[in-house]
Amino acid sequence: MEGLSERAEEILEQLWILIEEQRAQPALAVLRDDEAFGSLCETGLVRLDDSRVTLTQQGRKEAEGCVRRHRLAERLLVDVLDTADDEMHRTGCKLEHSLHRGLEERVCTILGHPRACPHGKPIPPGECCRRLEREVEPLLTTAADLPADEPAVIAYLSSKDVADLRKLMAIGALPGTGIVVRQRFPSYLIELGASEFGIDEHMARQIHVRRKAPGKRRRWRRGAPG
Amino acid sequence: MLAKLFARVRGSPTCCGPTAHPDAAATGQIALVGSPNVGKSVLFGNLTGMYVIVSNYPGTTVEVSRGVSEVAGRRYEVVDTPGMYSLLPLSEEERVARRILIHGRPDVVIQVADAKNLERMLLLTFQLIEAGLPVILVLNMMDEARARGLRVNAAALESELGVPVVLAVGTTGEGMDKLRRRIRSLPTPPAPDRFRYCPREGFAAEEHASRIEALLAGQYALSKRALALLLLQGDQEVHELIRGLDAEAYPQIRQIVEEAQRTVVRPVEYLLMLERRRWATAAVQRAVSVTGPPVRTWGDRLSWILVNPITGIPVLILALYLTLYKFVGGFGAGTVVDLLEEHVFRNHVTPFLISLAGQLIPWAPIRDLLVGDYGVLTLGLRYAVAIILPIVTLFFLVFSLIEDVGYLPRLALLVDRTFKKIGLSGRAVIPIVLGFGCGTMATMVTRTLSSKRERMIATLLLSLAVPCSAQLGVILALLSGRPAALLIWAGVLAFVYLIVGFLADRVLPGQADPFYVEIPPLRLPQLSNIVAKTYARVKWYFMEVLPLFLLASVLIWLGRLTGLFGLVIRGLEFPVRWIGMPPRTAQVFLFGFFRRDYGAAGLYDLHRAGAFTGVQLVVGAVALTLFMPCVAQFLMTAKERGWWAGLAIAGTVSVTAFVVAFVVFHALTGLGVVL
Repeated sequence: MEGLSERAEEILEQLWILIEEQRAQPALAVLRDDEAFGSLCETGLVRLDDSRVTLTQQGRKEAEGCVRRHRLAERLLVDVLDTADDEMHRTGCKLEHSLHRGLEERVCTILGHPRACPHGKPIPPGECCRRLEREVEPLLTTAADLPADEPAVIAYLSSKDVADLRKLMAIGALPGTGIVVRQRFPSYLIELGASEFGIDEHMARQIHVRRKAPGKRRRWRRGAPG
Repeated sequence: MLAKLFARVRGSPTCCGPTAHPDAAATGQIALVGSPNVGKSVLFGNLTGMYVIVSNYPGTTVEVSRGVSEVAGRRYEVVDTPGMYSLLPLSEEERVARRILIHGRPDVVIQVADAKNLERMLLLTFQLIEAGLPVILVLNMMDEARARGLRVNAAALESELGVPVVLAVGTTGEGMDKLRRRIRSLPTPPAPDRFRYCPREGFAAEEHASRIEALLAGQYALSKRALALLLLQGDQEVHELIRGLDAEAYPQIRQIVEEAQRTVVRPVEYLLMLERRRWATAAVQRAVSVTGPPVRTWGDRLSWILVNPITGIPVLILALYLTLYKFVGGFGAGTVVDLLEEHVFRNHVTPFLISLAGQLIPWAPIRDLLVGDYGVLTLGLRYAVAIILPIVTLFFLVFSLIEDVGYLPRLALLVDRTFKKIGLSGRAVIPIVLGFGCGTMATMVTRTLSSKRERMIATLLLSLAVPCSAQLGVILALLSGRPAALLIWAGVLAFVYLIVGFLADRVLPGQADPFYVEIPPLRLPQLSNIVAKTYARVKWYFMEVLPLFLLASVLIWLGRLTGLFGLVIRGLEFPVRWIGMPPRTAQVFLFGFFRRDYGAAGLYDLHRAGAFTGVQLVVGAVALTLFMPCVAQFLMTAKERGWWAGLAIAGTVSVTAFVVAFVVFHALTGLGVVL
């Protein structure tokens, strides 16, 4: 919704995290006198009965968008701009408000429709994720989708299972490592540093990579030391 | 390593030296640690002067070998630990390796590392330093690193890490003198907190760790810092250890761990690993330089040919044709067996034994036992030595060769997708290929597979549709003149293999294991290595097979003497007739119960007597290949999977064998096929 102040968006976001993710009740004392909170009630995004705060249907949708933009912003900062950890949160808060709808979808596509923020929290999917747009060539993709022989760098791992994560750590597939996919069929042959590993699609989907130069190929050149 | 596995099963020391008894005169202990595929075993051999089999396939070093080394007049017990990637164990092997570090309290810990992958290798180095262990870092395979244009500044790396660094080439012995000098001047370990974790994603590792450290009062082999960090990573074994030794403080420690774990979204071990990774990157930047463009070696080119399905599958088929069909089947089961069987045994050994027995033994039943038609010497020994031994030896020679070159992990990569359909992962290629050598041995090796489900499916397929080399050799010889018959036999087996695997995948709960395998560079095979490996395997096989062959002869003799043999054969004649075979074949199936290959050899004998038509030959070969595994494999199945599973597998296999044979016979005769 246009016209929401930064403060109002932040409140919506916090309410959504508290109510939807943590299943907790927001403390009212802090909010009651807040001007931005008042405007949220007026526009019908938030309902306040007695001592309970709830999000209306419209409010939930709006809040979900805020959370989504915040987490996408974090992904953008970490994966593409390589921002340090502590800096990320601060800048992320500022950046999210600048990501309006059209821009949000393009960022999401460039990032390869990520499912979780750098902290591992889920990113609510947007329209573009459902359509799985590939018109803008994504800068971030998974090892499973990376074209063969195109050099990339591992951005993050999205293992749901700790056992899988451990296997990836054991073969040295950690963020920052250079990766080249040498073969995609029948299984994936990947080059990590100076070693080669065979992995299946299930594992390759968990390795998210940042493409250095989409479209460029590096044939059989060995990687940098390490 | 396979040879080491055998040693444990047989309960005797390996050919490679003492296994379980630390040398009494040794005054110190050296532990060799490192991830798989870094040449630990070669270095172990260099240090101890004793030969240890070197394997290319990751994860096969299950057993621990020990040897003795003398450095500057001091004797050390040298322990070669199973491969480990991290101090936080993922597998049984890593657990074993860590226990050696905890309980052995070694004087020197030598971490063997692959020089060309230093950044990845250092992740373990940091953990060893953290644990307060006296580490020497050996950068092995420097020749391969140099070929890739890498230059390592050992002094810079030493000052970065605070531990001695030795550059080495295990296979040529380069750097060994320097390593010995470093062992002699026992290194003082650097401070465990030389490297400190910065907070990551709001997780302050140092803070939590120091709170736990302060509570630890017990005496431990690893530093308290390392223990605290392992506790934070949720290591069950360390939790148990602390619960036992620091019982009073444990509840409080547990509380700190739970508190810390609540602050993170991603696993603590991952956050710590990211930090170590940061240190490693910094160290490599300081110590390693790239001098020139890497050279694409012959190995790279050949590797590409092997793993690429377009060239890899034809190469695989060609390799199977040349090695199994031509070499093991043609040369082994044909030429060598003919020579030994026909000329040596039939013309010389057997007549000699018969005449000798005739002169020395007056009692007919005993003479019969030794040199009769089914005698211990004339049948048991002859089958084992003249028919089975040459075939198995040639198979193991081929297997050792492809293992030494590094083909097996590439094969795993090539077949993983197909194997997934039958509930296996690419890793199962090792036991399955080995099954073409000896099913018993392969059944034992299934323990290297990571899930119970996969082990069960692999065991079932090994029992059913994978013919062992002895069987394969004899059957290839049987069907050699009839390509169509051979094709039908192979087609039926492949079909049964896929269908049963597919059904097992559907029926058993769970899903196929995620697959990952390290693909080491292709290496020129070393003759000494191959000979040693083949020798160890053939020896194991022969020790295993010969007593069973002899026992089988005794049982048959007993059975004939008491009339039981005839009774069983008459009973077996029904199903045999049912699948369209001449009743005489029943005894082949009885032999087959004692050993699959024994049965195949019996079929061979009957065929030479002209007992079969072409169709019967195919049906017999199919039934016998699918039939009950040999006694040894059955016992191994029961031992590895439990008695119930063993019996269930045996039952499934027997029923399937006769049903498939029945269908094949009626299909072929119904279609009027003449072979």
